[in-house]
Amino acid sequence: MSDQPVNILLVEDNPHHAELAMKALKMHNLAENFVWVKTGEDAVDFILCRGEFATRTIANAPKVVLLDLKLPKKSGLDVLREIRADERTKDIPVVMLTTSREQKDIVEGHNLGLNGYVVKPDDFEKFAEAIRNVGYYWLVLNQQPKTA
Amino acid sequence: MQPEPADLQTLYERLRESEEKYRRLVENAADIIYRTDGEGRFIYVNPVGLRSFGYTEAEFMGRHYLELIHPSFRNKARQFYATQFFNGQFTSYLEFPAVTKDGHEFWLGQNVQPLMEEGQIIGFQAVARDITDRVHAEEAMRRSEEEVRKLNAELEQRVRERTAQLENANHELEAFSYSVSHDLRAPLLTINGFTQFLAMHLGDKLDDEAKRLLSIIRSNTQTMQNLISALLMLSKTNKKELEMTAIDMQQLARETYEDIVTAEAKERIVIDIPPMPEAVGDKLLLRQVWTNLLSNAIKFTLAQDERTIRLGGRSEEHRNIYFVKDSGAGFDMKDAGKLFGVFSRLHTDEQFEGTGIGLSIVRRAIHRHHGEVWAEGELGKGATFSFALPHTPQPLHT
Repeated sequence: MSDQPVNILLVEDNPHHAELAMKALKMHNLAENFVWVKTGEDAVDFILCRGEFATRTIANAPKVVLLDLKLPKKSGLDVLREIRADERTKDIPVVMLTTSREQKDIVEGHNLGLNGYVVKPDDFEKFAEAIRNVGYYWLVLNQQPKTA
Repeated sequence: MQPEPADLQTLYERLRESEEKYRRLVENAADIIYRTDGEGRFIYVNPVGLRSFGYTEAEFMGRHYLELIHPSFRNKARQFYATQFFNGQFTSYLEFPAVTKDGHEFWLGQNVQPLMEEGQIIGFQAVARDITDRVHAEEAMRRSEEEVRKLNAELEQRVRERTAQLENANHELEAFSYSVSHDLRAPLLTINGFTQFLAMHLGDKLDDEAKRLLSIIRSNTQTMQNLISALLMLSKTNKKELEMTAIDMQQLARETYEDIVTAEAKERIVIDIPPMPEAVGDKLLLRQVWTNLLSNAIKFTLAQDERTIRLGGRSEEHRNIYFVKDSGAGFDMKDAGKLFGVFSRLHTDEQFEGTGIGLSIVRRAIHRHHGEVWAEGELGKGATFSFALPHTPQPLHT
């Protein structure tokens, strides 16, 4: 994959949920520079510019990662742990997507430096609203002045 | 002064009479009485003694006392009597197994005194009693105590096994509710999402029939969503650790009612929430109890002409009782037993919507407080749901 700037990286194994998220972002004009990967392994490779994504540079890190909690093999929490463990990527904003309110997952996520979480509502309008809020906050409101 | 021969004669006569009296006493005694010489060989035994050991008098006399003691106990008995002999102890008591002539074993409890003459021990005399029954009773007691200990140990082992099984089951339940919340909800979001998307974006191109079909899909996914939420709530009610605090039940009931009642329903319903005794319990679970009872009352009252809901509480000796009384659809008392079961419903969806889980959550939450819950009603004339909470609750943890 080429070394394009990325706004939102969506890590979601359920293609239908990914499509709903994309539709929601499109509805609010936030779908520019959007990348979707299906597995935790791909997510870590993408962010750390390894394997299939070795041609990318870390400086082009996503502005926000929307990370599904429940992924096959490498879980959302595993991905978060690996991103946070690397000095170069530890500050990338990560927002967890989950279908449950399992307290222990959310608490563990916060201990790992999670920036926020969205409980996927069963209702599409609410889901679109939640996705819009996350995108708007991290892409529009949270622009950091470049210091380096 | 020398006594006169006639007096001597009288004296002998008296002595003989006295001896005869004591001999009869000894010979008719119920206990074994015998005497040995200084070496421990028998020189006298009473008839009970002969009967007990099964010897004739000729066989008995001259026998060593140790021969009458069970071989397993002889060393102990020898040491015991040697100690008495050397210490010049006036009396001793020993219990031991004895053997009869034909080898039958029985137990004796025996008192022994040394016979003294001029400061020397010239023999022993003993009184012994058959204590076999008592010893056997004690043995039986020991055996049954041992048995009780063994049973207790087995019981504890079984409790440990059952506890492990229960923990296992709890883990499975936890895994199940995790899977319910994740895996069953994921497809729901997809169905709901695409249906809503269709309705939103193709709205103008859809005819009325298509819109109606979409709304059926949506309302059914909503029903399934409610079911999943209710199942999750039931499983949480089962496993949540209780945090016991004092709770203002009037306030909690009021807050809960305001939370769940729609503006439209509030207009139409007359509700009375008077002061109630303070409860000690888990606030989250008790809020859930009020939520489920009140939403039932609202649901079944709205369809009636008279729409009143009355709450109340009173204190009894060991417990507080709270109730929700409504003027709703009511139920037939013969169906009262079905009310609190999981997925058990008395109405069709067209009559009243519901998951059939709400009251089983209520029952579980109250049982975890060691309380009770019950319902009274009459078809078409409203229902009263009551629950009792003990004053000094001991929370159940499973």
